[in-house]
Amino acid sequence: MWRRVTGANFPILVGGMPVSLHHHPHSGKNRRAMQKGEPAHDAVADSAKRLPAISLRADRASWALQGSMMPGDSTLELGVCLGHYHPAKALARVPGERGLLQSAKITQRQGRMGTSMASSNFETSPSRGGGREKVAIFAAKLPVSGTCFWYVSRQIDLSQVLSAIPLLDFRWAALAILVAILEIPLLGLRWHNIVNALAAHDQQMARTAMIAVTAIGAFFSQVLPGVAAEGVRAWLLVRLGSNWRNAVTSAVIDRGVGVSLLIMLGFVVLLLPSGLAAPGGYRNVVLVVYGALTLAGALGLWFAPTIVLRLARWRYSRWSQPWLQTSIALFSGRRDP
Amino acid sequence: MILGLGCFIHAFTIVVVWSVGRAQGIVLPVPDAAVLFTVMIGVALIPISVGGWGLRELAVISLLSHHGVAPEKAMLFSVCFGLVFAVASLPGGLVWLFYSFAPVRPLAEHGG
Repeated sequence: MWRRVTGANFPILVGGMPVSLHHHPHSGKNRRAMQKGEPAHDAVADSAKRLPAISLRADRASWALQGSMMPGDSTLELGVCLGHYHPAKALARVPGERGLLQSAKITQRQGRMGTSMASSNFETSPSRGGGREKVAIFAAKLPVSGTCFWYVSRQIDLSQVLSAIPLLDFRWAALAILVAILEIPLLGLRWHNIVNALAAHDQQMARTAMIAVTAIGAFFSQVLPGVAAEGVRAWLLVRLGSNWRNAVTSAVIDRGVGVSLLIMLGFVVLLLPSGLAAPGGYRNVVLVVYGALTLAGALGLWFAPTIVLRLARWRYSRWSQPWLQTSIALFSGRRDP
Repeated sequence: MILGLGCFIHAFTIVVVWSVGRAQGIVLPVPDAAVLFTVMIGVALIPISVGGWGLRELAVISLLSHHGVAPEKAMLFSVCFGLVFAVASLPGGLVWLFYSFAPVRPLAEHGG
């Protein structure tokens, strides 16, 4: 019985044989080995010493993975990306099924990528664990929203609110909805630019596809917590052929651009002669905070090239260099980082 | 390009704020709509409530009540703003149902 999974903490089954992350052609060890012209690390052979049922050469596994998946695209990369991949757990035996590994099978149906998992009692289930976390976060946020509404309801006459609903001019409401819908293609185009700046020239995405994914992301952002909606966006981008690293990075940068612009715009708006922004209340405090954040952002961009060079020297921060370079290129207007 | 698009997106949201105000018979000057936009979106970004619901209402009532707007009206304004974006996101559900996600390149070319 094959069951769809959304997580990634499982070994992949290639030609009936499980392979580990080390066989992935884009795993760090194999990439470095390939760059040096050395043979790829044969982790299956290593694991076969412990698990006699498994024997599969690394080069065959890599070839098979490449044949069934997009280059650089692996469900396992999602696991690594989200911190869910634990090689030791991934090679865990299934209780009661001696000599067999719980396995996942990458299938390709009608040009789509499908991920299935054999057996229903997999020991390590990151998707379930991640799901529990998301549900917990959502459950923690619910009381905050509820408490706010309860507090507000004590200050207002709810019957007055309800009686004001029929008095709404729904033509203006329709205009508001129309403008909000028109925002979605703009959001899609913004994200499209970021994705294409990150992706290789042969992995450029189509505008319409990106707008479609953005629309779906907007829908899920209404029904799911924000981070989960971003995850849906990234996942759909991977289904379109991107790799996980670019998908997650682009979603993070896209969110960052939106927030940065909001802060900058907020700073400018509060300087405008508005009745609502009149002195008093928290205007001055907000102005100082927004101003400080804007200044910090501007200084960060100014010194970013130096920061990137320093980060590249340190082993533990080297991974952030391409992200920062892309961000700098996007903010400075250069097309190719 | 990206920053320009971002500014357009925020400008559109300010138009949404202004339109929601008009729907309630409140004619907001553009700077006021921009201030409300900053507050409503800014508060919604704080990740302690579900989609900013509740916190946004609290902030809008607090802001508008200092300027003579009845709390009931402010509450309706904030809820309408949230509902506008909820309704505007519904086409995304249809896209989710009917859009076919084929990879940009045929998988066969990567096979061995």
